[in-house]
Parts: sequence; structure tokens; C-alpha cells
Amino acid sequence: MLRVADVRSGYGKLEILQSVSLAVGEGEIVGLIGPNGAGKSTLLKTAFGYLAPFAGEVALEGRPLVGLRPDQVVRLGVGYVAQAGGLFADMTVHENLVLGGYALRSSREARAAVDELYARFPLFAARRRQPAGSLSGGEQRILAVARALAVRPRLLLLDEPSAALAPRFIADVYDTIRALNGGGIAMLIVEQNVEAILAVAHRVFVLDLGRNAFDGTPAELRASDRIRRLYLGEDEG
Amino acid sequence: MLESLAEFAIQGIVLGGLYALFAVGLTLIFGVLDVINVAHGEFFAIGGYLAFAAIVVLHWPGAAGVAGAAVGTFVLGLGVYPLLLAPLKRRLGARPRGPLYLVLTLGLSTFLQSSLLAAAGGDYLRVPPYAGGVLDLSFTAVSHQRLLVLVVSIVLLGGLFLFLRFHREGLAVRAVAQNPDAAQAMGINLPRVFALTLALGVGLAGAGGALMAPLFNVYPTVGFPLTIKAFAITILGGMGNLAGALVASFLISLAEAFSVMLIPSEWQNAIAFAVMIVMLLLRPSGLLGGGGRR
Repeated sequence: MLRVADVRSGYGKLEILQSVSLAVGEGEIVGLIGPNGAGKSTLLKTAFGYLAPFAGEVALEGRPLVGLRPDQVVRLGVGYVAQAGGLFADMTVHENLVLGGYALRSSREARAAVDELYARFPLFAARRRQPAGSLSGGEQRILAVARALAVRPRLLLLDEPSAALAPRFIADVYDTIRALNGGGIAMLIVEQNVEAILAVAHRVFVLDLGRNAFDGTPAELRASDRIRRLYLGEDEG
Repeated sequence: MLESLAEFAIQGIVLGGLYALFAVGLTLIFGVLDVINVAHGEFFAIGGYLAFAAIVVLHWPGAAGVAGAAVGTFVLGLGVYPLLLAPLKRRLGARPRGPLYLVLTLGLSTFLQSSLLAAAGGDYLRVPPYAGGVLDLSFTAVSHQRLLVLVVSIVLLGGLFLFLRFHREGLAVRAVAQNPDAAQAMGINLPRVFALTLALGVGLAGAGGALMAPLFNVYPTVGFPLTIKAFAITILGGMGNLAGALVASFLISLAEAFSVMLIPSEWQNAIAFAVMIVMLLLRPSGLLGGGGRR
């Protein structure tokens, strides 16, 4: 579904990704892990069009994404949830959800999408007039995911959905992720919380210093002593 | 004494309507684009010239002339972002360079003033009042023209606030003001919103220029003092805060009106800037808190 091939990317002249490749298949959850500074978020931003790669290819179902702006990538069926959600904190829950449906063709379609979201997440129907910034951290993260669903994406890019959340909220967020994936949405998830992502991912990529360091299933990753030692912080033996 | 107070209050409120129309547009542009539009006053002047052309030259009815002037400045405003700001932004990359945008709009201001002078001459052009007569309130009288300015200002500003609150494009404008990256992830086309916001802001200034043409006359630099005053209002209200700009417009206009009772009128203009300086020193985030970009 999503193919990233030999991508080099970064900020200004600073090259963070020095040739990274990965793929996300239909309905798959792919985890992207690695130490700080490995380039995980940079890869997500490059795939979504926030950053133009210096070299390499990004394609969605064979269609090149390089050169497209994020607002154009959204219209191809890709949702993006930023680190910490990227909510419009001063705007209400309802306004955030309406904006989630902005890319739909008409206001009527957007209204129908928001009604569907309220049916799926009744918590937000009750709090529709509340400023999004006044929700708890976990609720904000789920609202950010819900908002990205308004355009019915086939692929979601999530940047550290569990960052800075208490454990019970992390469980809520990952329950939502599992449920959405059950509905057929593929996901590429950047995560620092390795245990959380290994529990849901079908495949995992490890990045290190802007390069691919591992590609395999969670079970294969757990079986690799080197990777466990380097990236899961486990002691030898 | 009470009659004088009421008279000054009415004068202040009417002037506040104009200030609000002008300053809210300037604040909207700053809040969304992070650009201080020094050329805002020139769009006020263009609104006046368009009203003159429509009403005096083409003999349109007053209402059509004002509407035409507002639409004309809006359409001109649509070109400012793609033709001037976007190319500079592309050259600078993602990093904001506020001072360069300031210089660019200062250049646009001078260019527009000079162009108006070359095209229309420096004469004061008179536009007949759109509404004749006065409203007699027994203790004072207010011309219908001034009341019209106030009422139309309230209607236009009310329309803007409703647009920003309920229309999906208005929500998009607010979203871009709060978080441009997240707005893009919603499918919002930033250049389109920037162009629309600039056009809305200068369209309000153009409407103000057209409305005030019978009171101020029309000449190339008519709007520049208003730009400077709008900076004071914007700082008093909180940079980028629309509600703050609205409140500050009436505070400044009332302060100016009442100051006449206490100090000579030639000092009136200094009041707004004294308030601005004190505000910057004591509460740089403005009356209604931080640069609340709403």
C-alpha cells in the first residue's frame, strides 16, 4: 500500500534519513521504532508531504507522493496524527471533528462523517462544546485519531500515540488502534513505547542513525539478541 | 456636563466602529499569516477611491458603491499573498522572517500611495453622504452618515465573526491561525487560506474607506494614520486576538473622545500611542491575554 524506497530526507541541509526503505501492506499495522534522533518522525513527515525528500521514492498504491502537499496527501486516503495529537486546543471538540472532515467534498458529507464519529465515540458527543484542550491527555489523543477518521482514510500515520500518557490512557489509545485496524485501516506507527507497539504490530522496522537496522515481525525482533540489546534496552543473557 | 459626556461617548462609539473594522482586519491577517500589513491603510484609501469612482463618476447608488468598493479591495487583496508574500516565503524557506515581510508590506504601502497619487492626483475628492440628515437626541445630534458607518461596521464585523465561528472556511482560517501544520493534515490548503484571509482583512479596510469617504474625503495617504493607530489597537487587544482588537478599538476611540474634555485636542492623537506604550511596558500580551490566535 505505502512504499518508501531509499529515501533521504531532513530539515534544510541537515540530512536525518540516509536511505531508508519500508513498506506497509493493506490492513497492516507497521511499527517504526528506534532511538531518539533515528529519524522516525522525519520519515513520517516525509511520507505525508511535510518534508520534501532529498532523494528516493514515496508511493501510495503505486502513485508517487513526492511533491504533494499534506492537504493533497489527505485527499488520497492518508490520515496523519501528529505527536501530542495536533489538536486545535482552543476550538471545541465539535469544531475539531468538523475540521477533520474538511477534505470531504461537501459540508453535508462532513456533517454525516461527524455524526458517524459521534456514534463511534459517544464520549465526544457529550463533550462536543468543550474546548479540545480541556480534555484529558488520553481523550485528546483519541480525539486526534477520531478526527483523522472523518475522511475515512485507508492508511493512518501516527507519531508516538502514547507519548506523555499515563499507562491507563495508553491502553485506551491502543484499544482504539486495534479496533480501527480491525475495520481494515492500515497504520504506520512511530512509537517509543516498544512494548505497546510490539503488542499490536504485524511488522516492525527499526531505524538507527537514519538507516534501516531491522525489518521483521515482533516475534523475530524479540528473538534477535542484538536488536533486543540495542533497542529494547534489555541486558545480555 | 452629562450632556457633554454623552456626546463624547457617542462620538467615541461611532469612531470605534471604524477603528474596529480596520483593526480587526489587520489583526486577522497578523493572527493567520504572522505578517504585519503596513499597507492596510492604502486598501482603506483604495476603498475610498473605488467608492468615488462608482458613486461620483459612474453614478451608482451609495450602497452599491460601498459594496463595489469592498468587493474591489477584496479582489485586490486576493492577489497580495500569491504575488508578493508567497514568492518571498518560497525564497526564505520555512523559517519566518517577520522583519522582511514588514519591509515588503511597507514597500507595498509606498507603492500604492505613489500609484494613487500618480493615477488620481493629490486632490481631496469629495463623495456625497450616503445618508443625509441628523438624528436629534435632544442633548446632542448625530449625523445619519456617522450612524450608517457604525451600523454597517457592526454588520460587517458580526458577519466576520459568524463566518469564523460557523462556516467551514472560517473554521479553516482559525485552524491555520492556531496550528498551520495540523491544519494541513485536515486537508486545508494553506496558500488558499492565506490569500483568503488577506483579502478578507483588506476588504474590511476597503469597506471602511468607502463608508468614511463622505466624512474624511479621499486622498492617497488618508489611510496611513489609521494603520499606525491600528498598531496601537492591536497591541492593546493582544497581537492576533480578534476579540481583543474589537474591545481595544472602542477603548481607544472612547479614550480619544473623552480626552478632549481634559486636554487640548491637538494632544488627542497622542493618547492612543501613550496607551500603546504603557501597555507594552506593563502588559505586552495585551488586554485579553497572550497572542490568543483565535
